Amino acid sequence: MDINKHPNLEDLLKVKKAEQPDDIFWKKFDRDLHEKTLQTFIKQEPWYHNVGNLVSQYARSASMATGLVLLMGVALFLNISDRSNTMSDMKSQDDSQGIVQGMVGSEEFSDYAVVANDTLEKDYAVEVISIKGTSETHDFEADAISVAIGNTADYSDASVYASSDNLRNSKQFTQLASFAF
Amino acid sequence: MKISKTIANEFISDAKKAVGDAVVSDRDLDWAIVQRVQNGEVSAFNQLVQKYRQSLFSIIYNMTGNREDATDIAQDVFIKAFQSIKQFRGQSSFYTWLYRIAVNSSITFIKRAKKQRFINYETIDETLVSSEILEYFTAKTKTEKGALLKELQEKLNEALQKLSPKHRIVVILHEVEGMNHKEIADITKTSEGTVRSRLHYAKKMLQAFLQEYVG
Repeated sequence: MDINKHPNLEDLLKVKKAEQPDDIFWKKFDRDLHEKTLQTFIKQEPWYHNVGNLVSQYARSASMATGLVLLMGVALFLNISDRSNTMSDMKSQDDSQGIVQGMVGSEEFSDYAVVANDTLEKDYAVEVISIKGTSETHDFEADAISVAIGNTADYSDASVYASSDNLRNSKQFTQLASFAF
Repeated sequence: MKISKTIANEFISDAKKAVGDAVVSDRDLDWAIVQRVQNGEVSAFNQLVQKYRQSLFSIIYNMTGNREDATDIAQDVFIKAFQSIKQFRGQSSFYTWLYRIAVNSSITFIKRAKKQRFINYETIDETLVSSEILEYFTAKTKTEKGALLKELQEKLNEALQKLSPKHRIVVILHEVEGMNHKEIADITKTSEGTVRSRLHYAKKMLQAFLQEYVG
């Protein structure tokens, strides 16, 4: 800057840079800052802060419980609707709809459905195998009852015994049992 | 001649790279310290305090016009920065983030203490004042250096305090702290255009307030 030239605003504002604290000030500044920082971290949290934390904790667990209950409810609902769907599917898919339709909703229908199941037919065959024992007669009778409730055609079906020669041999006893009824 | 030109160009590009690296490394250096603090090395924060306390204090002091208030606010700013340092992700420079806290704290303080403010100036270091300015005014007014500086300081601070906070901060950051428009825009969260326009208006106002000193 030329000393004969009038200073401009920028030159004048540079004077502001000269306003600087001394070393003593900075020592005190650092000491105070250190103390303030410590005070900030030592200072206890206000009571309302704790209440807020407690409320948020409860809210969190309550929402989790609600979610769980909702999930269980949905699972239960889906299970029930699945069952009713199965029933209606069975109703529609059955070959002998004409016979079954009259029995829908009754206990006879459900018994029929049980007997129509393949696995139960096999169970029935197993019972026939054990006919040689002493207690088998009773078992055989029980099986014979279920078959009788269902369909006589099922009862005398040869395919039921197809898997075993022994069973074939015992066919006569089975037939005899059916005659007894 | 061709060879010397090539060498000169290479030298210039190397120099540019070096300058670029220096700028980047300063930011990276701060980021490295911040990461150390974030990882639990609390004492590393003191390095950032030592590095930025002077310019931070200067900004706040020029905003408030009061030495004691500026001291308290500057300390609070460092505490705030320390408390929320985990939220700093290094997307901007550390100083931009720190100065933004300082600017916001200063403006909040000014708004709150609008009616009960008093002036308490910082001592002026004569050695830092341009000798040409001093010589010009001492020759013109025939006053002693110390008294002249005191008078200049008062007039300058009064003029600055007449500006609105948003105009004042732009002048302080640009003219006193020597920041560019981009840096100021980042700190004040405004556009560079807004910074330029505010600076232009603020300078015009200061020119009017200080017309007896400015040519």
